[in-house]
Amino acid sequence: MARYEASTPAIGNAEFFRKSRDILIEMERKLSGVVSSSEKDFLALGEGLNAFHGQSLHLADLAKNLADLTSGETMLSSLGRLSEELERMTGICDLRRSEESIAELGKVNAIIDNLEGIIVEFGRIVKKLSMLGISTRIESARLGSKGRGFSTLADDVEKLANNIVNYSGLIVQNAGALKGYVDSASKRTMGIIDTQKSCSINIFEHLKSNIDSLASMTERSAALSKGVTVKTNVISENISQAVLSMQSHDIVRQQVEHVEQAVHDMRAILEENREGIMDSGELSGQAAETVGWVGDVLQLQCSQLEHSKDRFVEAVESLLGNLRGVAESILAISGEIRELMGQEAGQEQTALAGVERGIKAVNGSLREFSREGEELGKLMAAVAETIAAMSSFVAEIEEVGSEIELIAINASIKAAHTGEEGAALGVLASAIQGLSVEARKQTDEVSGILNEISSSSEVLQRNAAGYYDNTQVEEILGSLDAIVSAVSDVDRESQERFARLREQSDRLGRSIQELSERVDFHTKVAKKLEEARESLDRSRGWAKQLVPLEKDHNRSERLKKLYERYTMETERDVHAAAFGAVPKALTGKSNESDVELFDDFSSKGGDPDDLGDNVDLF
Amino acid sequence: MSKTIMTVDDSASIRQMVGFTLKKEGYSVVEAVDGKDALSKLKGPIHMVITDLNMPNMDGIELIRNIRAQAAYKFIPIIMLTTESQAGKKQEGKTAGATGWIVKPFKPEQLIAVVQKVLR
Repeated sequence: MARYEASTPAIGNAEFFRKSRDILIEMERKLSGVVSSSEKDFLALGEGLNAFHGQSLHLADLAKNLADLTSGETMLSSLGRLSEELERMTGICDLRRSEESIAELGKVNAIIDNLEGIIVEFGRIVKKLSMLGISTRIESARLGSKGRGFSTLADDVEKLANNIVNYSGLIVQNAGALKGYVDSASKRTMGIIDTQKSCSINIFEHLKSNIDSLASMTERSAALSKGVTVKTNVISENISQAVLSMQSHDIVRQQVEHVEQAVHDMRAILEENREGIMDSGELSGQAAETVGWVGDVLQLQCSQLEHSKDRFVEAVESLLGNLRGVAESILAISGEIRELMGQEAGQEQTALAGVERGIKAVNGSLREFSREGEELGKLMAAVAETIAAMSSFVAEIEEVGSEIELIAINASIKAAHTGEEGAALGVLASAIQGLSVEARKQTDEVSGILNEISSSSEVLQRNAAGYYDNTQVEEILGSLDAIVSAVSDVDRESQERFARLREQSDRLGRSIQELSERVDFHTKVAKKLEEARESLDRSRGWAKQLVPLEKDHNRSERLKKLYERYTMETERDVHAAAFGAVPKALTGKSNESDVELFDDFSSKGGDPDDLGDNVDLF
Repeated sequence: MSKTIMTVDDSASIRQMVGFTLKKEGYSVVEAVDGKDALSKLKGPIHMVITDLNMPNMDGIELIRNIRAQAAYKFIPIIMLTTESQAGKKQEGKTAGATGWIVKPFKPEQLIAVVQKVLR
């Protein structure tokens, strides 16, 4: 503190008295209201602080509501239902059924080709039957009256040949129609496969990724809310620290008022001892004691002023630091929301719009798919009908085969009755019988082929029924519409809340920044306190020149008395530091607890220390 | 119904901070600038008093004595909130009827913990 010790020019007693008295008069005037005049600035800061705290809590509420909305029941249930419908759609768009149909249709095509070869065989049988009919008719004519019955036999054989021609012709005709149906069914199934593929692409490329985006948006919103809560806690801590700083105003005000009082007292004591000081050559006795005392008190007041100034500046700077911290935290919230919304805005479409577009595309595919399936179902029904008709013709041909057999038996019997002359007819009868066996073999083959076609037809009909299950498709489409509508509501609401939260964070953050930038009253107060300290220190230097420490014998006792005058812990610490002792505040050891509760409160709730060092409940 | 706490301090900034802190926790607050002002406002349901020590017109010790002299407020908690931390002053407060002592500066949560403890 001996700043002017070496540089202070030598001074006489009278000059010391006059100059010091003038300084003290001026300081008394100047110090008055230095700190208290800034109270209104402090109060304004306090008002701002309180309002900011309230608004930051409101932001936390908004963020929580937002997270509740985006991760709430509606959104979660919608996302769950959307995923379920997606599964169902994926089932409908399963290519395996279509691929099975294509394979079955290929098989039917090959079978029909094979059938045509077998039908050609019927032509050979018909030829043989015709020949046998002619031969029977010739043999019958040769036998005359004995061979009359054989003429009827020849008629029957020819008639059967015609029947085979007719029925096999019908089978060929139906086989042609069947081939046409199979071609159409193949084309339609290929169309369905294309639709299924496009449906799958929509599901996988648009819907699934956008549903994932929606889920991710929900997660981000929850994370944002969590972040806001954390930041709000930081804000509360900053506010708590700021409240601590705000009280320094009161402590510093009291310190400066005490300095004012000390300045007043010093002036009075100087005045009281005016004569002794002014008239002495070398100061001694009461005059020396007074000047020594004034020197010590001035040193102490300089320390108190320096401490007050530092504490005041530190308190305001800390307050501003806390305000800036609050502003940063709040603007960070706004930045995070901007980033979150920017991610959405930067995309070609929002996740929800993507889901809506995907659903629209899937809706189209599903409807197209359903329509094609219906057409295919009709085709498959026609296939089944044709196969049934062909089967009835095969039955007719089988019947012809049986009749040929009967005719052959009848011919054999008649030939036997005719005796030697009918031997040739017996040969014809055997040939007819051989043909009946051949015809049966052919009809069995045709029948087997038709059974195969029939089996394939059943597979195709079953698959087609799956395609055109309109109920399921309409159910899915209805469900998708309802989900999109619910998600749209949540999305619109959450976008609005995001915007509101961002706007309010921006506004609050900027208000706090503006307020903290406007505050400069502490530098003015600090300047005045420093000027006062410098003036007092000048006078202190003169006093120490006139009464150097080595001649100041009662100093120790005086310092002790001075120390005892202070009851504020802060002031006592300053005193101890100014005169070389280690302040208790700096040792971290305080004899007195700062908080105390008296009587029965001291035992309530266990350890009283949990209230803090500055609280005593008696 | 929220409890009412009277805060007595000649420093407006301290009254403001104490007021904010208590109101945030749902307490009603009556402010007084010194002991004399406090006594004039001591009417109706006041559940607790938080007072400074050094104030013009009437200091905290005198205020406590006056409050304890009134039957209606004989047993309400009275906390001294002051920059003083000397044992003698503390004892003086205790003798006058103070419930506890908090040295400024205080943290808001600390003040609330004390209030909750003495009011329960």
